[in-house]
Amino acid sequence: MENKKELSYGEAIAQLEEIIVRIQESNTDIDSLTSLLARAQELITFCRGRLTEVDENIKALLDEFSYEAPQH
Amino acid sequence: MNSNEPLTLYALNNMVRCTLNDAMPSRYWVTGELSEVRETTAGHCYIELVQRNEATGELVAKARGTIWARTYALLRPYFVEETGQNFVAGLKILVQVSVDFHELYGFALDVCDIEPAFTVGDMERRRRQIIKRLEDEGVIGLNKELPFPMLPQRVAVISSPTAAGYDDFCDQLAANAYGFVFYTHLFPSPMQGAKVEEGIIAALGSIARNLDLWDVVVIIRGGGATSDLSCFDTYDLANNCAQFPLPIITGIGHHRDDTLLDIVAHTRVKTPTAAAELLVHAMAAQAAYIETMRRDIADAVRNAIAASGRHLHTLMQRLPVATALLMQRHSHRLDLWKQQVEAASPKRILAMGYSITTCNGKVVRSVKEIRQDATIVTHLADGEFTSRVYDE
Repeated sequence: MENKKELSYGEAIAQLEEIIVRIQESNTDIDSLTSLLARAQELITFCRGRLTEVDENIKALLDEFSYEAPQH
Repeated sequence: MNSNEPLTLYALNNMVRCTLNDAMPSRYWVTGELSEVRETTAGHCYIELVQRNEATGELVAKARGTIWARTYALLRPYFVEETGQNFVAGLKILVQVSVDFHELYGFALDVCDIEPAFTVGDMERRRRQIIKRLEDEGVIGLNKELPFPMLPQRVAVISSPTAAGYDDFCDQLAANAYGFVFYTHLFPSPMQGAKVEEGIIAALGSIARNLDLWDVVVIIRGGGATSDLSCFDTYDLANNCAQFPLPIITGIGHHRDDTLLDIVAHTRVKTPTAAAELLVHAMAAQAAYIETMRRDIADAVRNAIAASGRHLHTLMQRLPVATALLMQRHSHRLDLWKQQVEAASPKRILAMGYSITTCNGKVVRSVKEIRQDATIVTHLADGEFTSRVYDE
């Protein structure tokens, strides 16, 4: 979970694309399907979250920035 | 008149006035650069017209001019409408004038008409020069070449805080139907008049100091009708925007041809609202892509499971065939063994006329094993008989 925090949206999307290809093209056995599917679900949740959930880190950064911004 | 008698200044000036009126009775079309424009509360407009040496820029001619209120009330809106440009210093103009000399106020041009097309042409020529220069310097397309961010969520807005357009933009983003999150921050700059260039460049500078905080820059201005767009047509502004390392979206609310700022920007839309819609659409495209991938994954998994099922089915079909084959192979081997066993069987030897003799159930291999009066059994191919030994 820790390293998921560091994952960028672009990386998550790239991983999803890779998983699709792996499931589609190779002779993935049923056992690894389950773990691929679980990972895909995680990534989808992460990506959706990036679109609609407020990221407190970004907010904090911007608030701090606004505070320092010179007034015109 | 006695020529030795000195003239009064008024008389002299009056002579100049009359001479001028007689010598230049017509109206003349004249070109020049506006070096000064001053509007009075009474509605008159005082201008200063100059001509420069094209090579050196030094002044070679200068004249004051007046546009009386009644004329100015007609000419100004006409000029603004036609040129998309306020009547301000720095413009090249073509005006129809009559030459005036007043005993007290001196020489002045009385402006009675203006040809905006001349100014438009001159502005266009200057614009083209700037575009050419940006092209020659290889910067004109730089901003457009930047990849548009997958998620344009962190938006640095350059606008005038008082402009209606800024609120429209923020409202539109905040109220997006998908519930997407955006982070906006205003970098204030004047959005009309002479301070635009300086203001936007300074705002870009502030954004550049924390480049990592932003995905995209939006330059917006509300209220479509405002006319003075020449402030967005300067070299320094275009050059700064073209080379800015984040994609710039413009929505400066106008309907005529693109300003230079629009030309160098990554993406140009008409209004602040349209700029907000653009960002929302980019996010919606990502949401749709995620949904597509979710479906693709589900399909792929279903296909993979189905493929495994088919594989299993094939195996099950092959099983009886394989079993039968195996049985057949074993059966053949048994037959072979049977033949070999049969070939080695004593029956075959007996059939050739040999016999086997047993005594007390044991095969007799030597005459020494036989005692007198022993009972022996002789085995032949088709049966056996019992005998008694009477002589050893």
